[in-house]
Amino acid sequence: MPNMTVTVDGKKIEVPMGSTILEACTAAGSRVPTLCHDNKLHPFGACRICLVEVEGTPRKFTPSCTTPATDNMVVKTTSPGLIEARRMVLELLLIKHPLDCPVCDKAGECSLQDLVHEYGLGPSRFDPEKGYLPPDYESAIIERNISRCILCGKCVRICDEQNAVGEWAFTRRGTRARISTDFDRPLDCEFCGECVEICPVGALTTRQFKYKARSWNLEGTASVCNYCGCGCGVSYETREGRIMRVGPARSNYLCTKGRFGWDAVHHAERLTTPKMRVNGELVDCTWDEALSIIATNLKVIKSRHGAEKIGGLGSVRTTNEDSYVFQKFLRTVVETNNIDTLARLKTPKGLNTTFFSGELNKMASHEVILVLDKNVGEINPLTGIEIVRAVNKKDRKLILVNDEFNKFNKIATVVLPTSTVNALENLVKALSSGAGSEESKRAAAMLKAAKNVAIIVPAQLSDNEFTLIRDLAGKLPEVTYYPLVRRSNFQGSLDMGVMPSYYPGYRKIDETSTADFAGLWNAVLPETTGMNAVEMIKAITQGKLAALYIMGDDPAGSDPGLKGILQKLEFLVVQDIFLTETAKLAHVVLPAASSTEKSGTFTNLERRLQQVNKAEEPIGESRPDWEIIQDIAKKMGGSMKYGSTRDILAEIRSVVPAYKDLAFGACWAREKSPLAGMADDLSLTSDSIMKQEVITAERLLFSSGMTITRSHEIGTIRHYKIEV
Amino acid sequence: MNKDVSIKVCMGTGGIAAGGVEVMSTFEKALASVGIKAAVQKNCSMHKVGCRGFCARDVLVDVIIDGTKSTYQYIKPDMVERIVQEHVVGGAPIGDWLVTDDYHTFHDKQVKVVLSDCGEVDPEDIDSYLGRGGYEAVKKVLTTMTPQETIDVIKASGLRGRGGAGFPTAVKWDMAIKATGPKKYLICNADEGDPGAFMDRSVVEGNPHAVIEGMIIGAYAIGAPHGYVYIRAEYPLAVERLHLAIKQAKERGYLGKNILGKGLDFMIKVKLGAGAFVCGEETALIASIEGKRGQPKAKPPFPVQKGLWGYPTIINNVETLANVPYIIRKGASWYAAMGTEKSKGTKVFALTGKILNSGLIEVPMGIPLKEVIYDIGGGIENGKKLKAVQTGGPSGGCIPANMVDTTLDYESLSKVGSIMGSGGMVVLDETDCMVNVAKYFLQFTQSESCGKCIPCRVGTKRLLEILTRITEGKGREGDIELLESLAADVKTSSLCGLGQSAPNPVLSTIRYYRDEYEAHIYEKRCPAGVCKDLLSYSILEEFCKGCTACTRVCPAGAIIGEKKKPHKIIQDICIKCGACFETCKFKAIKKG
Ligand SMILES: Cc1cc2nc3c(=O)[nH]c(=O)nc-3n(C[C@H](O)[C@H](O)[C@H](O)COP(=O)(O)O)c2cc1C
Ligand code: SF4
Ligand code: SF4
Ligand code: SF4
Ligand code: FES
Repeated sequence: MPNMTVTVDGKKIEVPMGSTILEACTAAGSRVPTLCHDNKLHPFGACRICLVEVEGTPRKFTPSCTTPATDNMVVKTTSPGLIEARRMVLELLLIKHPLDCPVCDKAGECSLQDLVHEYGLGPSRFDPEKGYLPPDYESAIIERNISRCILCGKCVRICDEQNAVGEWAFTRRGTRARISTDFDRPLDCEFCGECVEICPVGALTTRQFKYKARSWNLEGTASVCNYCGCGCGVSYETREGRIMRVGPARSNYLCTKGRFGWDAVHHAERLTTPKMRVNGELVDCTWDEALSIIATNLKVIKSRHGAEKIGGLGSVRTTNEDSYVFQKFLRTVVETNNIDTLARLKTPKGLNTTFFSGELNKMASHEVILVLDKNVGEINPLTGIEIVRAVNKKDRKLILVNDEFNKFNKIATVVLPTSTVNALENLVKALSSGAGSEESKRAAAMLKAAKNVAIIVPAQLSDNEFTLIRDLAGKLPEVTYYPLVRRSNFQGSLDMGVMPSYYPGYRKIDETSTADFAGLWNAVLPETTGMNAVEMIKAITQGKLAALYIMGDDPAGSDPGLKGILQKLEFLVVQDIFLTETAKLAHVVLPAASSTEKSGTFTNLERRLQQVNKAEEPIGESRPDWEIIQDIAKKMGGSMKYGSTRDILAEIRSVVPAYKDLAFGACWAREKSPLAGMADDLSLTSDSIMKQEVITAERLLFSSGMTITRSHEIGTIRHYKIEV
Repeated sequence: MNKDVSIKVCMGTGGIAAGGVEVMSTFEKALASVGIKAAVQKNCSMHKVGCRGFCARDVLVDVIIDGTKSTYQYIKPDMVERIVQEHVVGGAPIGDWLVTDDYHTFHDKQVKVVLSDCGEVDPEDIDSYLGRGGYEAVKKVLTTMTPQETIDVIKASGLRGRGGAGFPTAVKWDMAIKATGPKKYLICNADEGDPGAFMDRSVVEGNPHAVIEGMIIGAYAIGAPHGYVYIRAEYPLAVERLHLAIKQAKERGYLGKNILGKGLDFMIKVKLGAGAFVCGEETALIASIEGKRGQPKAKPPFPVQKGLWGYPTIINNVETLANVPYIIRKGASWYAAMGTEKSKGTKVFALTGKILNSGLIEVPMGIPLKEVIYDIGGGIENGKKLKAVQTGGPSGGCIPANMVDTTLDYESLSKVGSIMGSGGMVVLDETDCMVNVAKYFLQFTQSESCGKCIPCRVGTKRLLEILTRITEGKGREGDIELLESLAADVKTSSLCGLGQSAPNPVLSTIRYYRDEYEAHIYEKRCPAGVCKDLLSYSILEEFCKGCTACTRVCPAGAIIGEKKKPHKIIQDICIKCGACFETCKFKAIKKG
């Protein structure tokens, strides 16, 4: 875009055409106060505090947030008149403000407080107006203190423009205007807390943070949300080493799980000591006792039945370092390839192969977005948000497949009210023969006319759907896929080789690769590939698997039918942060540190490598997963001696080509994947496997969502559907 | 009998309220009963006609016999029989019932363009409009002019927007013709939210086809296939006639696809407004049509860049659009010959207040205020003295009596600190308190503030609060300066025209009547004797005859005294209603 020249406070600068005066001022380093403006939102122009003087305009003052700058414009951001006008706005706001800053959770980070201080307001010339409205405690999670509200409308707009929820609205007029919900009922929304985050004053606050800390006593630790595959950056805000509040890093977005669900790690039922089974009961024991029992039992079972009768189920929510050490332990110490994650049963088919994910923040670069999974907003909230932003901010077109009704219907250009498979068939038909319903034809025409299309790929696909998407894409010039991925480090677990037939970095297990890795790891490796999760569970029922090591997953919790099967094991080790249903069946239970209590890296659904940083000390005697496993390995004669996660990551970088020079915050590229262009075979969800008579396989699909149920805050939401 | 008889009954909202429907049906019956039914049917036509301005005298009836028109005023159904007998049949008009001379002065200084057909055409019959040259202008532009030529004619006529701001209509249309995109909209603003204004209502009620014709020409000029009329739901008659007119225009091929076979597509939808003043503001109006909260948006982008549903949109006032067909028909120079250098044509005003002849008037731009008040308006009621004239409604200001030479055009009005606005004109006499007048308008704007921006939402409330306390005798030292400073900030900082102009009545009354403010604040006295809290009534013993008239009218029982002895008002009980003051024949009650 061409530039234009703007002079701000005597300083000449170049800004892109279309910039607002406020943007020009910011670029010139002149700070203009704002109350109702936010870069995420459309300009609104309500607070009138951002006024500036523009030379040669008829009006005395110009609002900078809403007015476009023009070439050769000359702007002044301060003058006695402007200061007077801004002071007047503040003075007017204070007339009705309760000034209860001492008990307001926003104090210290309140724009009104800051500006009143900056502009040095003295006694008011107006009589104060009493009669404050009482605070509203009716809603879950969020409290509303109307008297503090300055009616900037940010909450209303973020909920509408960014979330497409539109829960807040202005009601009533004039001095009686306020923000509220339909009929002033309690909130019934996604409870993401974005409105609280954006509120410049203490009108919207959270129950979770109420009276918890003064903002200036908080220390932030940048990390990554551990709920879904989006991997949003979070800032854990701690006081005296304990998390008090979680906010978004880089002020992007957090959903309710990311912002409020973290409190699960403070739950009273966290495991704090190792436990072992004595006379059928789980009793507390020391780390040394627990680790010794594990080492001894695994050695005995290995020598009695062979290593192929031992297996490990890894986690899609532990760090890359944990996963790497886990698979390395099983391969080099136990000497088995029976390594998998249960989550692969709900793998997005084609992930990393056919459907190589685009970067979420580029969603708006596609002219048309085709959503094939109506639950996108619940599975991957940030993906949903990026779709809404693309539509609302950049006027992108949305084709939505939805046989029900949800928030995306409101912003969709075309809705195909049918199942995904029908919609795909219709679109392919309409694109090749021009036949079909009005909607399919319209959608097909839009797809055809677009230079580039984004396709939101469902978290689960049948073989038929998979083929249809490929057919459809074959008829379009340029397609970028955005597969949905439920868990925070699912991608990382694949990259780290937590799979029975791949080494880290997707090296397929064969003679050459085995020789290579034997050299790299200086170990003897099993010669054959291992059993996958489905096969392992089947093997237990057939007595072909005697011992199982489960790190950070809860199969029995998500599928009670598995309880009886797991009880058949000779030896079960469960390492988790809670005494899960699965842990209750174990012979040894190991308390793991949560992701807030340890460091490492996650790789999200975009294949973005992100740093997890420790914000608080591990609770009780709990320890990071990799440390526990390294100790067992040592006891079994292995040679692991990592001093920190940094050592592990260094080894990962040397073993996994895609990670070699991968910077934190960057996504690994398609060229770095040995799988690129390969047929899909990472997923266990192919129809043939699903059709196998595997226990209650269907129920398995819903595994591993148990942490969120231990969040106190999320538990207070009555109406919101949490994916469990 | 072979007379050509035509009876016209005033059927504007005022006329209907005064019994126009009954008057008309009585005429129908009476004419039928004199036995000339069949013969007369053809020649004798009865029209419902729209407002003719002279609302004070409804029901007005024209009886036209062979082209000679006689106008009756204050007609009731029971008077119809005699008119038919003596005038229609007997040929002798009833002198006593005819309009008086001032009815003619009322009309003589007026120049009617927009209102020229109001009162003449039957607003519910398209043929009546067609008979007076209606839709000729549409034919003319569609057959002989390009859109640009159409705009050029409007430009040459000097027509400026009548919605308030006086923005040149051709400049607006020029921007719209240059805007590109798949869709454009033309909206007619018939929201008319100012208190006491009924100019636009009368035009839509009296001659809806002129508005529609203006819209078609505008649509052709800017290339907009879709039009809306945004009209307040409180105008049921206007809405009904508008719907009917649109239907008729569509039937005759003036609306719809391929208008008059010239390839122009244009259709009009009617959207009812809920009566919020701010919805007359362009961006709020658009939001309201879109089904959103009627709340203004920052400009730019202007509606012509990004308006209804995001498409280029032109919004014009009813009166602006109703001028257009006449300009096209009679030519730009005819129109430009009226008015001043920068303000061309005519303007419709709603003349109200302490004026003898209140009602709707249309005058050439540049007419001295004096002529409007004394010639057209017939002077001040009850022989009182003129104090000031408030123009422009709640966004306007007042012109003091010593400035009645001011001419009515955009420039002169703004020079004296008022505005043309949409045409409200309230005449004030010596019994009007200027602080109270300012308070009255602030009450309106404050309650109509949408609440979006801080200066208007909170600022107008404070202005009102201070004005209220001044009228209650609680004014403080420094209040005038505080009003001035706050008013200036609300003006410069507010988001939309409502807040930007709301302080005008305050600033203008302070400008000309500062002494009245001071009397309220420092002397606790209301010079006009209006502000109740600053009033007290007492009995002057030397004049009191003890007739007891006052004790009998006092609703509070505050007056005591024996018959034929001087009475006394107990101040604690007195509610200051002024009943005793009005009643006393001996001028024994003192007010002040
Ligand atoms: C608070 C407010 C109320 C308004 N109300 C009206 C109205 O009732 N009718 C109207 O025509 N214009 C009204 N306007 C002016 C319109 O915004 C707009 O300028 C006008 O309709 C443009 O038409 P014109 O160019 O033909 O005058 C109002 C403006 C403001 C700020
Ligand atoms: S609640 Fe907060 S964000 Fe919402 S309008 Fe009020 S001050 Fe603004
Ligand atoms: S969208 Fe996903 S990663 Fe982001 S906050 Fe929500 S659960 Fe966490
Ligand atoms: S000036 Fe008044 S009416 Fe206009 S936006 Fe502001 S609050 Fe609303
Ligand atoms: S920040 Fe510009 S008006 Fe509020």
